[in-house]
Amino acid sequence: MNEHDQRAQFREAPEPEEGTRTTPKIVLAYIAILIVWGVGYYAWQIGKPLQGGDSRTPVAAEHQQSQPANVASSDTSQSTDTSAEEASSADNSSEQSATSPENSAATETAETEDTPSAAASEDSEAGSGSTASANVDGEALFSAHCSSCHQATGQGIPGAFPPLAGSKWLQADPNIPIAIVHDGLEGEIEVAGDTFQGMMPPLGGQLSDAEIAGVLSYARSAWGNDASEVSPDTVAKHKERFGSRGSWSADELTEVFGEH
Amino acid sequence: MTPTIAILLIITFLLSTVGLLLLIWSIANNQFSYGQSAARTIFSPGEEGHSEDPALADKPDFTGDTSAQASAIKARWTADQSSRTAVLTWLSSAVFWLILGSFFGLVTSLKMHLPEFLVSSEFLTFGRVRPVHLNAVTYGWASMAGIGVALFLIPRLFKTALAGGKYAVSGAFIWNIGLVLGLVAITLGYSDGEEWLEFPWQIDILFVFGGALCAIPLLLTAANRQVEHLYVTSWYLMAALVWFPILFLIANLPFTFPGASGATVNWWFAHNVLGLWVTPIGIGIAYYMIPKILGRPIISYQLSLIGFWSLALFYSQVGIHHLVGGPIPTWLVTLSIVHSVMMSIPVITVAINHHGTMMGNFKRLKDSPTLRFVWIGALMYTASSLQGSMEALRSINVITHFTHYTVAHAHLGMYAFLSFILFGAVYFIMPRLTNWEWPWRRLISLHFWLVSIGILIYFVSLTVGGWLQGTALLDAEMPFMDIVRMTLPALEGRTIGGALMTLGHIVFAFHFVALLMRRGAGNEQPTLFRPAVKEPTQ
Repeated sequence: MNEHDQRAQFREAPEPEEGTRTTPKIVLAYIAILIVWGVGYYAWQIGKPLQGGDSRTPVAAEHQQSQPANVASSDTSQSTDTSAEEASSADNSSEQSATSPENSAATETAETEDTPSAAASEDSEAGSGSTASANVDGEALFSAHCSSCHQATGQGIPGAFPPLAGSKWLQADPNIPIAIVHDGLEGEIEVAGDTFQGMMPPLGGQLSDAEIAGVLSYARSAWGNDASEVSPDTVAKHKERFGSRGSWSADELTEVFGEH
Repeated sequence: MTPTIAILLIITFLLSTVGLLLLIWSIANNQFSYGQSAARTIFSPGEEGHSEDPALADKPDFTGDTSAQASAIKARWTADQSSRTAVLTWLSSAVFWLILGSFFGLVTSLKMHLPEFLVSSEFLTFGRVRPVHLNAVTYGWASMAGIGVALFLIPRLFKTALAGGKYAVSGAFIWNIGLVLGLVAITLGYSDGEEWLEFPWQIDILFVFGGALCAIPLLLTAANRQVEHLYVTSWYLMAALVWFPILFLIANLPFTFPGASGATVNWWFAHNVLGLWVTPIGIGIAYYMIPKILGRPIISYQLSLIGFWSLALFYSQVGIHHLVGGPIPTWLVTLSIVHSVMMSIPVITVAINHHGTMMGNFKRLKDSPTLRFVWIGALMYTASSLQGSMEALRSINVITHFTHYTVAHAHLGMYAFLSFILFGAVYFIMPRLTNWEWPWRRLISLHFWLVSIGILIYFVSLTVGGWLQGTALLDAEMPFMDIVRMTLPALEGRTIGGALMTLGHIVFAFHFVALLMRRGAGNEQPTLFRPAVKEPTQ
């Protein structure tokens, strides 16, 4: 073993060791603050619902409320207006945690400046806010139960889920969409020139008559659709007539209710 | 959450935290007689203030004249020679898996914005190349390089020869066989189907075996140690080597955790691979390399204590923040969030220790490749950990969850922190094992700049793109395909960054092989970023 065999070992600094500096006071203070915060965070969760959640659903709901029912009018500007959309949704989520009223006020004014029908949207916003208990909010129901497949734009997904915008099935005799939503649909169906092969689950067990009527009324008038409102009584009559039955097929629908 | 559960959580939290602070206080104040006075025993007389810095040429050389100095050199020499074969085996394998894993990462990244790329073969579809990338870089590169560096450092720290090095060599072979079989299995479609746990459990047995064969020499060496005080690096390395086998074994037990509990164990494991396996290895190496290159001690023993023990207490519960919003008990998620935030305690104490030691020595970053890689790694540890604590909070998680933001964060931790520190360590270790200097200093520069610019592009584009994606996903009126299209520039940026990183790895691997083949001059001087002032030829 000569000097050349260990030149790297020879020139290096000693093995490291620890110094004796004491812990800075600010670190101790930080630890104390975090312990207090931890206890407070646990305590703050008492009584919170056991949703385990990341507040995703409440944000969506709040978003629906702060963005009035001007979907149809803002439909075309949607894709171009991406940045504004993002900004407003970011505001919404920060609201969720920090709750700053000025923030949401700013969002609203920004929106009303964007929209030509400012007065109309304010009206409908006030309406949808207060009607949550009395009336049914068809748009919110749609967003919760339908939009994951049929999309918020009502365009569906080509090849997988049929569009609702412009669908003749939806805009025909109200009994047809009631049957589909209440009892489900299975098998091949042709919508707007395309054939879909899929399955729609029955929602009769989850939605009340008024809710089915509300969501259908919304879908029948949104995205350029133009068909009559659906009343809860029609839904009740449908239930009387067919009771609880399995899914419909497109052929059965035509057979029972006639050509759409 | 009911008051009963909350009160139980609060009591547990307070008891464990206060208990831990008491333990640290007791150790720091010598209640167990393992305190600071014991720390001095590892310090050979007259060894202070010598370093590899050519700018310090006016200082007297460390000549090994005195018998104490001579014996210190002899101890290092003995330690390095004893671990030589084992370390070279583990490190060479790691470099191979780094290259393979990088290419699979690049293919995965290309597929994100060129979905038609390489789809003709089922073996190269996204669902298979992505797990191959993840497992190759985690268990191939990071774990093997980490074990290799640990095998090098532990004999040095204990001032003794590595006992039973041949067990570690055979462990490397078994580990490599496991990797080959596991990656082939994933490519053929035989996967356990859980992220970070894709290898079929039958193959996992090989890793348990290979790892255990590594633990034998390390435990034997620890039993033979010639020092009374254990330096902080050895705490981290020994702890990591104890924790990982336990985690890996429990998480891979077949048929034990069905359904939601399986998801809980999955993320408990996946995050602990980062926090209780690669993080202690990375921090431990930084704790060794920074004072080693600078030739001055780490500033505070007390901060080391707080940093180590709070990591040990808080980290294990952190992983469940990946399931915020998932079908598991709320109290578990809440516990995980609190502990994720508490993790800022070890992060800040370690940061003060590392960067406080660097204070006043930043000019040394111009010269030493090891110091530059390791210090940037340590800095990115601070950054990525604080970012991680923030991401666990529900209000931020709702935006960043399920987006590319998380991917950027993961690479900040695994690459900018861990891989940089491992690169630095390899630059330090190899000349000491081969008795040959790195052949070309410009290749080290090239490697450094390629991977640094690469990870910078990667991180910035995915962070920005991921945040925009997250806010857009919360907007129920935005069509999903618009959001996908919106992320395309970020994904292309990732491919550019990833390509630069892969290129850097090729340079690194080429240089590594050239060193093993003893190309270049094999200088008397260390290979630094700038030509050393004392170099006779210049």
